[in-house]
Parts: sequence; structure tokens; C-alpha cells
Amino acid sequence: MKYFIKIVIIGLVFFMSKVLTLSAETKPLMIEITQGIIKPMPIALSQFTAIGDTTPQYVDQITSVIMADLVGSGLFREIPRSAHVSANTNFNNPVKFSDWRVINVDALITGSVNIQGDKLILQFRLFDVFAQKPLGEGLQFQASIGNWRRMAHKISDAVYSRLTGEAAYFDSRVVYISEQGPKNARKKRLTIMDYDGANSRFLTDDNDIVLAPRFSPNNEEIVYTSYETGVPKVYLMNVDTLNKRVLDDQPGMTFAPRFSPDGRNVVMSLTDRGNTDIYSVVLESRRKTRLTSGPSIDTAPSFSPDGKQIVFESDRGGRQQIYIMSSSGGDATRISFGKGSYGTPVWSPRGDMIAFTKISQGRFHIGVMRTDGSNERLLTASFLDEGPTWSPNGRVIMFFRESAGTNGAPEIFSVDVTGRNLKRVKTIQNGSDPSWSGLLK
Amino acid sequence: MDIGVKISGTAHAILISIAIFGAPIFSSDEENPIQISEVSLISLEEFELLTKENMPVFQSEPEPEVQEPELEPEVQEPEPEPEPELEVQEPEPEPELEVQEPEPEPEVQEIINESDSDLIAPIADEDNLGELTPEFNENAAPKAAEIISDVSNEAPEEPADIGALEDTSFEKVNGADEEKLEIELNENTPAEESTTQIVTEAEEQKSDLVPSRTSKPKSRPKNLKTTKEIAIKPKLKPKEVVEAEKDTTAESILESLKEKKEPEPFLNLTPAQKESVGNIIRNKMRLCWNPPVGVENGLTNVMILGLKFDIDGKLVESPVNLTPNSGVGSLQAFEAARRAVIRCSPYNELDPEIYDGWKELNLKFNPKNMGR
Repeated sequence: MKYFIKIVIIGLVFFMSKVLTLSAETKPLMIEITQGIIKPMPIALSQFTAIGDTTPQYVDQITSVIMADLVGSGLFREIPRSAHVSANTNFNNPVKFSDWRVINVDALITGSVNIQGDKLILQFRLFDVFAQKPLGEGLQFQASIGNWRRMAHKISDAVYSRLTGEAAYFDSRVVYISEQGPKNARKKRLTIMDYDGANSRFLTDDNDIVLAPRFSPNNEEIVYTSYETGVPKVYLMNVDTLNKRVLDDQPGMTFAPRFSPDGRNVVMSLTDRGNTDIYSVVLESRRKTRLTSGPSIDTAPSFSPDGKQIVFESDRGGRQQIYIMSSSGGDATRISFGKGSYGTPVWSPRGDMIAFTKISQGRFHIGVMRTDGSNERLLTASFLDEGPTWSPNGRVIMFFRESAGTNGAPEIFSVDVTGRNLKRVKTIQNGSDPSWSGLLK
Repeated sequence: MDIGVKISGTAHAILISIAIFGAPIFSSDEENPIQISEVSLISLEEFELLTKENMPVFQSEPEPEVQEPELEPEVQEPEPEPEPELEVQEPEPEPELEVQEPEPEPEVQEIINESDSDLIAPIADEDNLGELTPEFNENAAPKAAEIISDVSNEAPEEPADIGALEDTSFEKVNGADEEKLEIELNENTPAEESTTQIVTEAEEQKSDLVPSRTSKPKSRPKNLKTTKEIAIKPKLKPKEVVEAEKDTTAESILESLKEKKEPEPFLNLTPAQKESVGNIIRNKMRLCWNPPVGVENGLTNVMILGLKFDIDGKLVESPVNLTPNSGVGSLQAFEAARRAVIRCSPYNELDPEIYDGWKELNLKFNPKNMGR
């Protein structure tokens, strides 16, 4: 018995010693970080190396476009060249990270511009200054000199995507309505431009009123409404050849068109004998299918990115609200329930949100909400904001804002989906009804 | 009577059994402490002998032996000068610790000056490019710039493949550059203050003759006065490891870490100490962490980074991504967290007395409450 007790005691002593030795921590202390700062990332664009026939002026133009893209997004802040400690005289020289870290640069862009005849070659690299490592691969773009702006946008896109993890939107175009003259006699023309307002080009003359252009998914065609025949009709136009045709030559007014994600169909509103409903038209066969019915005004349809649903506005409940239905029609579900009226809904290319125009207490707003109507967020407020359109990455919304008074005129604005970075988009004339293309290829 | 006999019999049996079994029990219990004391006695004796000879005892102990062969030759050159000073002061066993500590400082300073001069020279040459930046040179001259200048000098030797970029539209950046850049980071992080001083001495000691002894006596006497062996070892190990890492390249650091298969236990911090460490880190991250843009758009990647520090609170190596899953934007989330950690370094607010509790930390970056 005693012997047994001793054995037990010895065992306990041995066990306790093991327990004590094992009680030391074997894993590092875990600390959760939940607070930081949200601010534009400081970046620097090193002087690009000029090669071949490249002039310094050309280098400056290209780099200024790149920086304008990035800073214009509101997500980056430029460390000006005057603050740079060192300059790269050769694109392939290693980076002196200390020179960039001392001026608090997070990301550094280096590059070269090589002009050979009418051929332009752009190279660039992106670096994480604090980690002292390259971010991704160095890239090279080659094209004719005439496309230098697109090439600069391509570099901006690559940098933006690498630093944010999101798709980019700089190499894209916008089609909109140029407006000129007094309100009661305004001239309107279809116009296409780069997303930043450069390379503007008129697609129509000012003889006929045109409205609401929309890009096709391949960015080569647009649909729009024209009063060319005296009655509003939806037309289909190739933006390169400018060839056009009316989409539906049956009686009735057609308007508010928009392409399906696969580009094969167009949904639009058709008003026949005082009743406005949404129809789908197959572009190839011109076969037309009615998607809504009833005495209400159903208009402004927009496909979900997967093409399975359509969001539209309707006054079937007594006031303009937003509804969602299947792309084949049928029952619709109301998703807007806030005070005021909702209109011109547009489904985000990401599929997670819907942008809209809201009229409440005498003011217009551009807002976003989830596809179930939750998380409504108003991004703007003014005398008249209308016609939202999404950037290719679903990060930015472009719309037009008209000022009050007899001299009031529309201008195109853009705003980040968070409501920040509201700014005017440069246009050659006053502009309205913008439609953002997809990312160019 | 029977009962009395039984009682007396059992009592005798108990006494006999205690005499038989009790002795080994107590003896066994006593043996353990005796063994420990013997070790201490042995160590003291050997220590005294060793202090006179300065050689043997310390060889048995630590680990750093293998790690730093490459660096030794370079460091050895400055050593010979300081050695005689050490020998003179050593004869006194106890004070050695205190005395030795001041000694390394002058040595270190000399070494630092040498390295600095080497580093500074190339910078001046390269700065010829920037005539417009004298102000920055003065202000920026401080610390990291010097080290980086060396790197920049090295890198150009390996040519970048211009032709490769021209051939196709999408090309990788030279891998050679990347490797150099990584090395730069490791050099920079320990850089300035702590790296050269203790490191060079420790490495030299390990490599050639007796140097290892200097580090040991420093820690031992302190520990002996206060606590036991347990306290000694953890202090010695991290110092040695850190010192080794300071002067070695990233590869050698990784190799040295790999040699220790079993994770070293961390100091058990009290809740108050954990709170203190956590608050220091969180306060710094509040100013340095700029999550990627996706946060505002509902994209919230929770990232876990593994950090290793030296006793001065400097990062020993680049932060490691410990996040098990990777999704959209996770790379950018990791890079943003990494920038924050590097930007906020050094973390010299952390208490060196509890270094074993924060020599390695895992930071969990959770931006879910930062978006809308």
C-alpha cells in the first residue's frame, strides 16, 4: 500500500513537472489590428527614360496622362517631382529605395519611352518602396504613336489593378450627348470621347434631338433614341463606320434602350396607345418580346451582368419605384422603399449594386443600393442629378448635373461609389446622358 | 493481546517500510536538486577556470556555431584591435560582465564608423546625379540611405535584360534584381544602430577563438544573481540569434532558424503585459496601416502576418503571410499590412525585459470595421 502511494506520489511529481514545463507559450502572441487610416496612397512617377527619337516633351505628356489617371481616381496621391531625391537616368538601373522612402512614397513607377519612326514602345515597372520589391512584372506596350494616350491609359490600368486588386477603367470611352444653346432651343449631338474627356468626336450632327446613348458590350456599337423621324425611335449605330438603322420600325415611340450582356438583345420601352411597357428585341431577327404589361409606365430597363434579371422603374405602385424581374418578364419585385421617387436604375458590372436617381424633397440624388434594396446610400445632392452609368470596374459612377436657372446647362460629373472624389469631367461642350463603355481591348 | 500485537506489528511494519522505501524516495528527491546544484558547481568551477583561460566552457553551450562562417572572415579584421583590451579586463570574474559591456561599445563604434565610411563613400558618388537635392542629402543622409547605396552599387553589375522586354509585350522583371532587393530589406531593417555593434563582436567570438564567452558571462552573472538557468537560456538564445541575423543575409537567417526544429517556448506574459504589447502595436498600426481600396467597397480580407523582432524592436526579417486562405484582393491586403509594419518599424517602445514575450508576434489585420 505504501509502495503504491509512493509510486503515485512520484508519478504526480513527474506529471506536474511536465505540466509546468509545457505551460510555457509555444505560439507567438496574436494581436488583432482593427484600426488604420484610409487615405490616398502616395505614389511617385520617376522621370521616364527617353530612348531613340523620344523628346522630353513626349515623355512629359505620357507621364502626365498616367499620373492624371491615377490621381484622378482619388485613390492615389502624387509625390511631385520637385520632391524627388533621385532621378532614374536609366530605366534598367536599380532603384535606390531609400531615396523614395525618405519622401514617404509607397509605390514607385519607373519606365521608358522609345520612339522608333511612328512606332512607340512604352516600358514600365512598379515597386513597393517599403518592401523594396517589384510589384508584379515589368510590362511593355507597343503601338503606333497615334495611340500614345491609350498606351498611357494601359499603364495606368496595370498600376491601378496591381495596387488595388480591382479591375481598372482608364482605357475606356464614354458616349454622351453634347448640348449647346439655350434651354428652349438646345442643339444635341451624339459624342464619343475617352473616359477623361480627350479625343472627343461627334457621331451625329445637330439637326435632330438625340437621347440616352448606350454602349454595346463589345464597345463597337451604340443604341440611342433619336427624333430623326419626328417620333422618338431607338437606333443602332456603329461608332467607327457611323452606319445606323432603326431598331423597331413598328408604330409607337421607342426609347430608353440598353444592350443585354451578350450583346444579342436590346431591351427598351415602347409606348403604344398611351401605355408604356418594356420589350426585348433580338438584334439579328428583330423579333420583339413584351416583358411587362399593365397601365403603368415601365421604363429604364437594365440587365444584370449575368443576363438573368432586369431592373427597371415603374409607377405601378402609384409612384416611381425600382423593380426587378426575370429577363423573360413576369412578376416583378419592388426593391426601393425610401421616401421619394426612384428612377433610371443601372445594374453594376460587378452585379452587387444598383445605381439610381432619386428625387426627394425637391432635390435630386445619385445613389446606390444592394440588389435587394438594402444599404441605400445617396452619393450626391443637387438641383438636378440624373442618368448614372457605371465604370467598367464598378468603382466609379458618371452622371450629369444640370444647374438651375434659364442659363442652366448640363455637365458630366463622376463620383466614387463611396461618395468621394466628386469631380467634373471635361467635355468639349455641355454634356448629358453619359454611357461608360467596357474596358477596351 | 492479539490486538496489541497486531498494532505493534503494523507499526513496526510501517517503520520498516519507511526505512526501506522512504530512504530512496527522499534520496531521489534530493538527487534532483543535487544534480542541479552540481551543474551549478561545475559551471562555476569551470567558469572560474575558463575565465582564467577564457576558452572551454562556453564552447559546449550555444548554437550559433554553425550559422555564421561566411561573415567571420570579414569581421575578424576589426577584432584584433579590441581583443587585447578584453584580455586585460577579464581576469576579474564577477565584474567581467559589467566591464565587458562597456568594452564592446567602443569596438562597435569603430566598426560602425568603418562600415559607415564605406557606405557613405558610394553614396556621394551616386549623388552626383542629383545636384538639385543637396537638402535631401543632408536630411535624408541619415540611415537607411547609406545601406541602400551599397545595394544600388551592387545591382548595376548585374545587367537587366532590356532585350527581353523588347521582344515581347509582357516580361518579368529580372529575378536577380528581386533577390537583391530582398537582401536590401534585410540589411535595412536591422541597419543603423543595433546591427553592427553587438553583432560583429558576437560573430567574431563564435567563429574563431573565445568570443562566445563574452556573451555568456554577460548574461550569466545577471541570471545567477537573480534566478536560475531557465532565465539564462532564453536571454542568451534570442540575443545570439538576433545578433547572428543582423549581419547575416536572409538565407543564412532562414537556415539558422530551420536548424531549430522544435519551436522555442515564448515567455508567458501576464495579461497586463499582453495588453501593453498589444496597445503599443495597435497604436502604431493606427497611423501606419492604410488598407487597400477594396475595404470601402466591401472587400475585407483579414490577413495574419508573422513578425520577428530583435531586442531593439526592429524587424529581423520581412513579415511573413500566415493567412491560410487567399481570395480576391488578398495580395494587396497583405502588401498593405506589410507596408504598415515596415513603415512603423522600429518598435522600440516594447519592453526589452519581456523580449521573449514579443520576439515573435502575429498581427491579425481585420479591416471589417473600417469600411462603410
